[in-house]
Amino acid sequence: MKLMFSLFLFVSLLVNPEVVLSQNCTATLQGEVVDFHDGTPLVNAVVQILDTQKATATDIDGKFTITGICPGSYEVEISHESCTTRIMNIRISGNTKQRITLEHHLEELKEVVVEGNRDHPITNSGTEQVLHQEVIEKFSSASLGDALKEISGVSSLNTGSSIVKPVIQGLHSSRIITMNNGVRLQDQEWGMEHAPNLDLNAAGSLTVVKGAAALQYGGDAIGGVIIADPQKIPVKDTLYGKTLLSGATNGRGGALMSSLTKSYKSGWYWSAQGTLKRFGDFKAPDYSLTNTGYSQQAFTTSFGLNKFTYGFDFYYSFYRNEIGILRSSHIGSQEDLLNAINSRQPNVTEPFSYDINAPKQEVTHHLAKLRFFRRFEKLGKWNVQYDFQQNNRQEYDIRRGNLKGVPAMDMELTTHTVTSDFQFDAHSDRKINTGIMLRYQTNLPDPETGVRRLIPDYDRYDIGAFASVSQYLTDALVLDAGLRYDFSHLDAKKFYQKSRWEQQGYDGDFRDIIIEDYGDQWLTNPVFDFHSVSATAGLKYESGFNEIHFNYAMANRAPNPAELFSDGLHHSAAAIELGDLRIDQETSHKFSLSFSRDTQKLHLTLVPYANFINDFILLEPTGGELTIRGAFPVWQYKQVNARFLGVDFDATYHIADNWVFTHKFAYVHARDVTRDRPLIDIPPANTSNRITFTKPEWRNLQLTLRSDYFFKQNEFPDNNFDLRVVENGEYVNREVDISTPPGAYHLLGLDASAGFPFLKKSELTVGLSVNNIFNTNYRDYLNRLRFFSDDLGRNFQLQIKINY
Amino acid sequence: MKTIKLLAFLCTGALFFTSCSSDDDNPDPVNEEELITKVTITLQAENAETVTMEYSDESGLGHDHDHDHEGEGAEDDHDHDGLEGVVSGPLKPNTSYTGSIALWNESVSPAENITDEIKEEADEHQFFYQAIGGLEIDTDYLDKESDYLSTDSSNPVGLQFNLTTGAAGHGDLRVVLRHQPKKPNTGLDDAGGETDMDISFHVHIEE
Repeated sequence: MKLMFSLFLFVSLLVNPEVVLSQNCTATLQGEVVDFHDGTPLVNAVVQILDTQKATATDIDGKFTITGICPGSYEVEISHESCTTRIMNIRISGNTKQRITLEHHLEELKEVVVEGNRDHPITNSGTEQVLHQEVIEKFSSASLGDALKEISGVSSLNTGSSIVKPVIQGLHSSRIITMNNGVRLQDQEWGMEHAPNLDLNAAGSLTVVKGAAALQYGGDAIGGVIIADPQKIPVKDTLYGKTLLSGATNGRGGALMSSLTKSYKSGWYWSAQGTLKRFGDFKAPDYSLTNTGYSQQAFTTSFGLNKFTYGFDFYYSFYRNEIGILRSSHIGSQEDLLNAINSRQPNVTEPFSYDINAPKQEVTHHLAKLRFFRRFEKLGKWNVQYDFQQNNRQEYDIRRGNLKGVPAMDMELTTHTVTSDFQFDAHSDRKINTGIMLRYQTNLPDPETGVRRLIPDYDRYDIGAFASVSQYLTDALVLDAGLRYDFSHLDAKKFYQKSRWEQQGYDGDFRDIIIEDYGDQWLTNPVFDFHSVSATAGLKYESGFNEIHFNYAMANRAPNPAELFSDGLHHSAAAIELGDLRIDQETSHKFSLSFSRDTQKLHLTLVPYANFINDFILLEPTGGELTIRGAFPVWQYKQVNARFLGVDFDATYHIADNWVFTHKFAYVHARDVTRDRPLIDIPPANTSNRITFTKPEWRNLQLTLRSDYFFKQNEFPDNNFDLRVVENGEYVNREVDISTPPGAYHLLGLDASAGFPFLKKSELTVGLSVNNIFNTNYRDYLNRLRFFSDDLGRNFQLQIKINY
Repeated sequence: MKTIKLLAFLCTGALFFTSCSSDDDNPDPVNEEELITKVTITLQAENAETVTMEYSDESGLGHDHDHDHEGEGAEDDHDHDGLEGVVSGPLKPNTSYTGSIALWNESVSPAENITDEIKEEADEHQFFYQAIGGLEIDTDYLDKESDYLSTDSSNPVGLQFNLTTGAAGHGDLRVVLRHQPKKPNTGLDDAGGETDMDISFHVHIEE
């Protein structure tokens, strides 16, 4: 270690002699020591920097600070009463933060494991935020998208209350990559009504990288990356688990989640976890939301070997859900839509029921992965992984006759991926990560639906390669850079109605892709090759309590199947949506800055950003079409240049011993610069404020008052259109207002929790929450069902957690 | 190096999957099964000629919103936004007609009789007839759910109806089919549900 330190000093000297000269042992190590299982703070843990005289004990919140440290790498010893001591290696410079989890196992109090978890950043200069176990548990009965909204700048695009798609700084769907335990989710994420097929209860932490800086996951994350990682399993002989039971009044349902992990000192382990959720019809303040119940079953299991120099893991996850879609949102024509907008409440309201009828979605997702790793002395770590995913999505419409139980859409997406990467981490100042990816994907829509395929049969081949490096320039300044290349080959077989083919003007440009004539339809074979280059570079500067990040990321995203091929009537939007074979890649250039200041009393983060997207793909109305159901607007995919400017702000202030105030604000201003008008579906400015009172002496009592305020979105494109309707026996023109966003709203919530000893060796935590305390009527601009009903009314939720 | 062997095994596995699935079988075409491509209304009266109204669209998917060919005849110079069918001849004034409506999907072979489907689900469907633009026509339902289903419900369906004409004139007769409407209801505005069909006929009442 001493050798490393001298080497480090030597390198610093070479790079920037001034820094070394002015280096006067002012670094601090700050952090908290918490229980590995449930994140409760551990009081009186001793933190000692070996080879120095510096040591301290954690306070009542598990927090500690050691000041006056000379920058460098140290062995740090962490011990807690009745625990064996463990040593970890920490690089300390500037104001280093370290979250340390100790295994405070009730069964074997004498043993303890330290697991360093430095909020392990995914990128160096990118902006990212992490949600830990404590927060994830609060959302046990909700969805991934609900939990992620705890992060500033993350909002959601909803279809009702159960289909929640994360939106990062104004971008969503194919512009976001979701990583589930190291596997990139392939779950038909292009759909606005397709939420991530992932059980958040299986995650130990959720990280959001706001932007395309994390190139190891893919080059097309224009919006960002969501990383769900399982909890780390300690290398020791132990058996532990937890059970969470939640019940809620709104929806009259709840969730049951249970997990069990067994590990051995030899490095072997296995783990299993399962979740069941069941809800009936939810309720808005004034009426029941008929057919909004849902049911979810999820199961994960893993086993493996975790030696220091080598190991492997196998992981399998099963996820299935059935989600009812508000009955009244299934409409047949523009006139139905106009009536729904004007009536301001659903036209079908039935008494509460647990039944889930059409319209509904049924999705099943299987994910299996096998990964090996090996560490090479003085070189780094090599990973190789194969994963398999199968996603089956069935969407049921209200249908007639013998088609009643037949889904209107039934698609099966199968993906095989092989990835391999090598992390060169032997050098303490320089880390290099490089890897390759091979992927094969096939989409198989079932023709038995009796509805023409929305997305055609296709095979897709992807190859990617990346390299990234991070380098300490001085003690305080880190540079990182990365480059990625992706090649994608898409080979589809798609039927076009001849009338549509001509109307789209494909006759001239695409005549040669026709392979067969089926009377009124052409069978075509569109083949696309996309070459994408993505790159990122940035700097991180740490000085005392302050930290500054700057990052530039360029990303290219190839169009998704919906943007190229979609062709059909979208029921709840009452619009015909058309893809375009001419759509090409979109390119984003994003600049982000992050200033943060972290003292014992105050934590601040300010993140301004600018994202310039060339050839941004969007969907907008272009004309009308008559069908036997009446007139429908046609929405087509188009490309424009877009500009997103925004800021995310976070602040945490320790007012007094037991009182903490948290503030969060996000704003994004998005414009179509080609035509100088606002972009559609951009989240409005929103702010969230909380006051928390904690009293560990009183059974770990914690009380939080939450206030969430959403402004009205005043920037929106005008997509309204006139519709001729019959009133009093005469035709009249009426404007259908599908553009004006709903008004601002304010929601208050309350959380309370306390812990109790349970049986002899376990602990029981009871939590009570109230959402929308005043039963406020509101509609959210980013809820696709906002035309049809108000959002959820008051909800009481009780949660019981047992750790064992 | 067991790892290397396993890696090799995995890679071959992946290649195997890839090569297996690249077949050249073309997918089967899907014909839209839930279409209504043909609608006929027959109006009969004791001392008047039978009038038929027919709407037909082979693809069932309508067409571009195109009014190019409208308004070519002076008396057809009217506006409408829906699909329009063809009427065999004028109706007589102050006459009571007995009407029936029939629907087919002719895009599949053999053609599907949608009238039968509606009868089987009479409780989930209802037709609405609306006279527009000063056309003097009144309609009453002649059937009820219990005519088609083993139920006591006397809610109307509208496959059979009574149509009474008033004074001479012309205007549109709009015919709407709603799926899962509120039943009973006070009319189209109150019915809700989703529109399965919305067509109109330009009707003349002449002596």
